[in-house]
Amino acid sequence: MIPELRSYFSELRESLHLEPAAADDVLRELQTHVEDCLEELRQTGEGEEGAGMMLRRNLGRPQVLARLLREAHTQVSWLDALLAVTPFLMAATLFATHLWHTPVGLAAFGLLVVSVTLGAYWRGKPSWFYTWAGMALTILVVCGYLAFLILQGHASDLVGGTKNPIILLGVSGAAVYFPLAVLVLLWCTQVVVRRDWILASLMLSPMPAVTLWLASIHQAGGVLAPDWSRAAGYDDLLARAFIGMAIAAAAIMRAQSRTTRVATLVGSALLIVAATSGASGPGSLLTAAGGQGMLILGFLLIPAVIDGLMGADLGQLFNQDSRPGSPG
Amino acid sequence: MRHIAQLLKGNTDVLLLTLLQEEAMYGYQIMKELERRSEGYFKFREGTLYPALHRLERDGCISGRWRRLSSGQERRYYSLTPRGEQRLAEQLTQWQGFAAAVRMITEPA
Repeated sequence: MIPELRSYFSELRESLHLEPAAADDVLRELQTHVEDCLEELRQTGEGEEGAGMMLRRNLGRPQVLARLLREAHTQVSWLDALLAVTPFLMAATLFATHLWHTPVGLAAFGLLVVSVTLGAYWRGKPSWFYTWAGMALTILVVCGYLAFLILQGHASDLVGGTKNPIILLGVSGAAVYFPLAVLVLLWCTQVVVRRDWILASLMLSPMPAVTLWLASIHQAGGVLAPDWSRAAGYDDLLARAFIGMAIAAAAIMRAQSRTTRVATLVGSALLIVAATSGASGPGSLLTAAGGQGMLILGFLLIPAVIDGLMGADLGQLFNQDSRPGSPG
Repeated sequence: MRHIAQLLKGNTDVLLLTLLQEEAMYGYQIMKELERRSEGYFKFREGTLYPALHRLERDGCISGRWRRLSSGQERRYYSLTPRGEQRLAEQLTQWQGFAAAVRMITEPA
C-alpha cells in the first residue's frame, strides 16, 4: 500500500477503539474500497503518489472517519445499558438492606457476579461486560482488606518470632497476596485499555468507593467488631455511591460522543464523592471530600495514563474531532 | 449545502436499502451506482457510506458477507434481510407521503 495510505490506516486503527476483531473487519473493508478507488484513479492516468494524496483528502481526517465508524458500531441499546448497570444496582440493594452482613447474601452476590462475568467473557465480552468484570475484580479489594487484617492481627506474633506454621503460612500468603492482586488488576486493566481506556475506567469505578468504605468501617471497629451500629451507617453511603455509579455507567454507555463519555466519567467521580461525603464526619467534610474526589478521579484516570504509555497521542485520548464528518 | 446534508441524513437508509433490494453489492459498487443513477447528484463519501452500512447491519436490515473473487481480491457484499425489506417499505411509504405533501404546497392545483 502507498505510504500515505499506510500511515492513514495506522492512524485510523489507533482512533477506532473497537474490539480487535471488529476493527480488523472494518479496516479490511476500507482497504478493499481504497484499492478499488486507486485502480479507478490509475485508469484515469493518475500517478501512485497523486492518487494516494487525492484519496487521503477524500477520506477525510482519520480521527473523524474513526469516530463515525465507532458510533455506528458502539451505540449501546437501552437493554445493554440496563445490563451494564445491574451489578451496581444489585450492590446498592445489598448495602441498603445490609444483606451483605449475612454470609448467604454476600456469597450469593459474589457467585452471581463471577458467574455472569465469566459467561459474558466467553460470549465475546458484550458492551455490558465491563461493569460486571469491575464488580468481580472488586472482590480482590475485599480480599486485600482481609489479607491486611491477617497481617495486622499477627504482626505481634511475627515480631515475637512465632514458629506456628499456620500463622506463618497465613502471614506469608497475605503478604504475597498484595503484589499478586496488583499484577492481576494491572493486567486486566491494560487488556481493557487496548479496547478503550474509558471502558477500563468504568470497570475500575467500584474500587475507590469500596476501598473508602472498607477504610471507614475499619475505623469504626472493622468487620469483626461486635457492635455493628457504627459500621452499618456507612452501608447507606456506599449504596448511594453505587447508585451514582449506575447512573454514570448508563450515561457513559449511551453517550455517542467520546467527549461526553470522558466528561461523564469525571462527573461520576464528583457524584460518588457527593454520595459518600458523610463518611469522614462533618468536621473535616470539605477537606475529606476534596481529597476523596482527587483520589477517585486520579484512580479513574489511571487507564488513560496506561493508554498514553502504550503509545497513543494525548490528543487521541479524548479523540477531539474539529469538524463533523461530511454527509456526502 | 447544510440543507441538502440534512435531507440526505434522513434518506440515506432508503437509498441504500433500495439498491440492495435489487442485488447484493459491496461498498464501492454502491457508491458508484448511487452516483450513476442520480446522474452525479449523490456523491457519497466513505464517512457517510460505511457508517450507514454498518449501522444497518447492526440493526439487522442488511447482512454482510465476505466473498473472494477469482482474482484473489476480497469484497464484503451486503444483501437485504426480511427486516430490511420491512424497513424499506415503511420508509418508502413515509417518503412518498412526505413528497406528495411537499408537492401539494409547492405545486398547488
